[in-house]
Parts: sequence; C-alpha cells; structure tokens
Amino acid sequence: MTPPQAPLRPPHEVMRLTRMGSMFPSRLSFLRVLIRRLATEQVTVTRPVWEMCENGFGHAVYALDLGGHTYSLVAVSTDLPPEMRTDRVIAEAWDSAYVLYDGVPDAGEIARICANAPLQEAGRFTERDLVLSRANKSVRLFAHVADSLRAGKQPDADMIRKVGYLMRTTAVYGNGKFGIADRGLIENRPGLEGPFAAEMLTVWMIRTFTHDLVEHVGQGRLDRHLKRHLGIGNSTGLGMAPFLVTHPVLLNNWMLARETALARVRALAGFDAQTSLRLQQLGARAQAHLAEWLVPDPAHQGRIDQLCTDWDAVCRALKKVCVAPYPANALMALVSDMSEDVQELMVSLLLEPFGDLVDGLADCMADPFGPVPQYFSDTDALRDAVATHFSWALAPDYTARDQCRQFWYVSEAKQEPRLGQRFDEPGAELESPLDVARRIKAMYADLPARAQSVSDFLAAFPDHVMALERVQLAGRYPYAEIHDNLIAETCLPIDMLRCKLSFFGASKFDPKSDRWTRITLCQGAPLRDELTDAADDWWLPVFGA
Amino acid sequence: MTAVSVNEVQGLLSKAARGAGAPPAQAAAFGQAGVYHLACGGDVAVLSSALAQGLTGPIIDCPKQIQCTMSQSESVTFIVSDDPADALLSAYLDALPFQATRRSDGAIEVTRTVFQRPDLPARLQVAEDVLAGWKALAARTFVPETEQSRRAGAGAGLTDND
Repeated sequence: MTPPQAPLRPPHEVMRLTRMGSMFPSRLSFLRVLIRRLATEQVTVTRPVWEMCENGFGHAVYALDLGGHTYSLVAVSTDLPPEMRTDRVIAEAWDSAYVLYDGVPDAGEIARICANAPLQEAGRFTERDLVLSRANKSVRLFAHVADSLRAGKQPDADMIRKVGYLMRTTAVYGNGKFGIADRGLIENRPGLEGPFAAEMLTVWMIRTFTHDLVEHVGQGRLDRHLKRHLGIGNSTGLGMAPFLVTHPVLLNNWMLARETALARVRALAGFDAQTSLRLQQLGARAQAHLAEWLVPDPAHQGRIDQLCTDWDAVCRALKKVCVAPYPANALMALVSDMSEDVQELMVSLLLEPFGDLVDGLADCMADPFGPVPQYFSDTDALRDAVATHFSWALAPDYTARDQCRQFWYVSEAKQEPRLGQRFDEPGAELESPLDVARRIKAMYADLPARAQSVSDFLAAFPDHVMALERVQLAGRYPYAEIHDNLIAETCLPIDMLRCKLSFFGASKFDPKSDRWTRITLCQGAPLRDELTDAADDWWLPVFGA
Repeated sequence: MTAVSVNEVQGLLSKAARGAGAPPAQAAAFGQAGVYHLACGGDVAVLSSALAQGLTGPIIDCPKQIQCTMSQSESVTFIVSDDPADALLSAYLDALPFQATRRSDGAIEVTRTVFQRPDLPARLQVAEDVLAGWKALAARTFVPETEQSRRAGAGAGLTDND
C-alpha cells in the first residue's frame, strides 16, 4: 500500500539552480542504494589476481557476485611522471586505469584490458567491459601513508581527515562509450537497475583497490577507522552538466523520488521517541561533518561557515520541534527563512531515519521506457500547456546580452561540453541546445492566433520541434526542467554539477571555479568486509566516529 | 566492418544529422531511429541517404508525420510501403515508447500505451568508410579550441594536483 503523503514541493520551488546547487546526499543517493544492495546480498569481494611490483605498479583483479552475475574490476597501476599528472579531461595518462568487467576475465582478457584501459578514450573496448575509469593519486597523501606504513606507524590522522582519499577519479565512463557495453545490456540485472549503479559499483571497488595498493607499497596495515575515512576523490567538470538537460525524464524521476520521500515523511503526524532521538543524533553528526568540511575557496568556505552557524541553531531546536504535531512539517517551517543550504540539508536529514518510507522509491529513479510524450490536439492546446508549465521561461528577454551571454558547445579537441562567452568567443553558431527556456519562448511567440494542427505549425517552423517535445513532457514529468535560463550570465554550471553529484552520493564539495569541483565519494562507506545489516549508516560521515 | 555500441551509433548519427543541418530534436530522433533500423537488419545506405538529403528528407519528414498521426487518436495506423524511406519510418515507430504492431498488409498500428522497447543487440556492425562519413558530418558541429576556451572553456585551472 502506498504510504500517505503531504503535498509535494512545487517544481517552481525545487527546480531552481541555486536550490539544486545546495543539495546534499541522501539515502536515495545511488551509492547508498548500492551499498544497501551489497549488504542485503552479503556480497563477498575476492582478489584473484595481484600482480604488483614493490612500488605498486602492475595490475589486479577483484571479483564479486551480485544479483546472480559475477563482476570483476581490473585495475591497472602505472608509473606516471609528475609532469603528466593532471585531472583535466585533456590529460592523456593517469596513475591508474580501471575496467568493470562482465564476468571473470581470463588471461587474454586481462592482457587486453591492461593494454587498452590506460589509453582511456584512445583505447577500444568490448561489450564485456561495463565501465571504464581512471584515477590519479593524491600524491602528497599517498606518499605519506605509504611512508608511514613502511616506517611501522599509522599515518597522520589529521592529514587523512583533511584530504580524505588516496586517489581521485577524473572520469567514470558508462553506456557504450568507446565500445564498452550499452546500459541497455545491464539495466534489467538485479543490483544494476538503478541509475549509474554500475558506475557506483566501480567507484566503490576502486576505493578498495586504493586501500590495498597503499598497504602493498607501505608493507603495512592501515587502521580500520582511517581506511574507512579514505573514500575516492573525484574531479568533475562541465562534461557532466548537460546530462540533466538532455535526460529530462531521469532528472524528473530523481527529483520526484526525493520530493515524494520528503512528502511521505511530512505526512507523519508524530515521531516516536526513538525516531526523535535518531534525528537529533543525525543532526549532531551533520554538525560535526560540516565542521570538517574545509575548502580553500574563501567564498565557498564562507557559505559553509554560515551553514554551520545556522545548523547549530537548528540542532538546538530539534528536540523541541520533534515533538510538535507533524514534526517534519514543523522542521521544514523552522528552516523556511534560512538559506537553501540549510533547507536542503534538512530534507536529507528528514529522509535518513525513514528507510521504510523512502528506500522503495529508489526503484522509481531509472527510466525504463524513455520519454512518453503528450500529444496536443492543436496549437491552442500547446499554448495552454506552455502557459501552465513554462511561465518561468517566458519571462526573460533573451535578446538582452546578460540573458544570452553564455553558450554551450562541444569542443573539437576532446568532443566534450564547454561553455563560451557569446560576445567574446567564436563558435556560437554551433551552440548546443541547452537553451531550453529561450526555445520555449521563441516557439510560443510563433504560435498562430487561430488554432491550427501542431503538425502544420511544425511544417512551418521545424526549428520548434525541440521546444514542442519539452512541452509534451511537462504534464507527465513535472520535475523534468531546470526553471532557469541556462545561457544567462548568472547561470553557474557548478549548481548542476552539485545536484547530479549529490544524487551519486558525493560529499565535501570543493568548488575550484564555477565550472568544476572536487568531491569525495564513498567516504565513510563500509569496507568490503563490513557489508552487514547496519552497513548503510554512513550519511555525512565524521572522521573517527 | 566495425563493431560499435548502440550508444556510439545513436550519438554519432544524432551529431551527423546536426552536422547535416537538422534541428536538434529531429537529429536526436534520427539517432534513435537509426539504431533500430540497423538492429532490424536495415540497409545502412538508407541512413547515409537520409543524411545526404538533409532538410528535405526523412530526418525532417518522419518526425512530422509521427506528430501529425499520433495527435489524431490514442491508436493510429501508419501505412508503410516498400519504399526505403518508409523503412526508416518503421524504425522511428520502433523507437517510440509505445507498442507498434505490424499487420500482414504492411501497416503498423501504434497504440499510445507505454511499452518497454525491445532489446537492442550488444553490437552493431557498420563499415569503416560509412562511419568515417558520419564522423565528418558530426565534426561540423564541433567548435575548434581557442586560447581563451583552453583557459576557461572547461573551467579548470592550470594546477589541479594535490
């Protein structure tokens, strides 16, 4: 039976860039969903191959069984000269490269992967290769940990806390890229049905490899609590941002699941004493986590500091508000005048104790059918739909320079998404169609005064088909659109990155500009021998807790 | 022949259609239809021909025809002849999230009931010279780098190690 739910927060409130750029991981994040699955199946990770020199260069294979299938991570570690180490997508060599393989690779397959994986985009892969990735060392921390272990002592805990990972992935490719398997081949497999499940499995296994590698080089064992805090870093740039625009149904399903989860919790008339205590404990954990979230950028650190201050006030009020009628509503009201950072942190907090209400919604976050359009009888019906769902897109004057200053494009060199300045750089004539709002308004302006068939309208205006298709989705997928002008000078791609990365389960966002960010994945996540029933309790982890 | 993933073909055909002048939605639909066409054993030349026709061929006409017909009723029938262009229309219908049923007379009935599309093969086989032609069209949509875009386009600084 479907649990009762309060009204959903409306799309015009939720689907704004600044709010999306304030999101935190939650128990609906894909890494959390994966860990729960691994724990439920009591997955065991084995390491059938470890061919590594004393300096940690060579290859390894890890294997696990999930949902009736065996998956193997083939990890290749290479000696990378320092001058070649860069996280940017323009890099051509990395400290390590990885393939998540479908099955158990034999010697020939391992040799093939060892030859191709380090080439990354320049390599060629098969349908047995499910995910392709690479990672660079945090040289400072990796060397320190290895040196410490070699000296027979544990590494400096403060340094572990500050950096939080031994390696950073700079790309995790799935869905057919460079010849690897299409998602369609695995999307119905138990455990991999969810969005990015194979990619998250790869990241979690890479983390295991980084732990083993540093222990191998250091010839010692890391303390468990240090190891658990060592996640996987990640550098993410613009390449990820357009995904949210080009996959409107997925965006809708992710946001709708999260909003539905919140609405279910808000429908609870009261919290029992145990739940109330749990919320207070989690609120305090979030406090400690925020205190450990330190970034070099003064502006972002200022934002975190403000969040810390506000969250302290929230925590002081938690106990009292938890006994109010409809306490989740009361807690949302408590933070309604605070920043979006506080509000979105509260959303994640409120979902955390309610696995029974929330976790099943993870099954609704994929897109097994593709976009299902609503067809309009005529242009009047189309006009009504635009007015109903896209009033936000009709407001800006897209001819004003500040409303169209940026343009998205695909670079010739790396065939990756980029963002240019329309009035300063060439290439705007090859603009990628992320200007959804502008296109909606242009179509709206061309709609005829007297109703005609949509097909006749499109015959006259074939450039408006994309706008039409977006409107055709709006009724069925209310959270499919970002309600902002993505070519305005105020558009910050970092907000799109944070939204998507929070769904992955990322924390410790460390923006390096408004276009790329470092994050940490799997920090605090269970180690391979910790996949118990309690394994999933690692929301906003705290060092040493 | 080169074995390529479905996503590679779909992405490449979409970009090639953009390079051939098609608006983005029609280009994306062509990419989706293209993989169903190839998966059903369709002639790859039909796809290259459609690209060559640009704005005067099926890349524009098929989506228009589908919009026109689908808006008429919950259940509609498309008449599909042996003409190669109609073979592509059939692939466009397969790419819809609706059930498409082929009648013995060659017509295709589409019912607006949400339907999981049939599985696609693990690999599609496309001749290297055909892929090269599609890549050349796709390349028309790429923006060459400039010093400014190298510095700012992706947003990364010059120093990103730790």
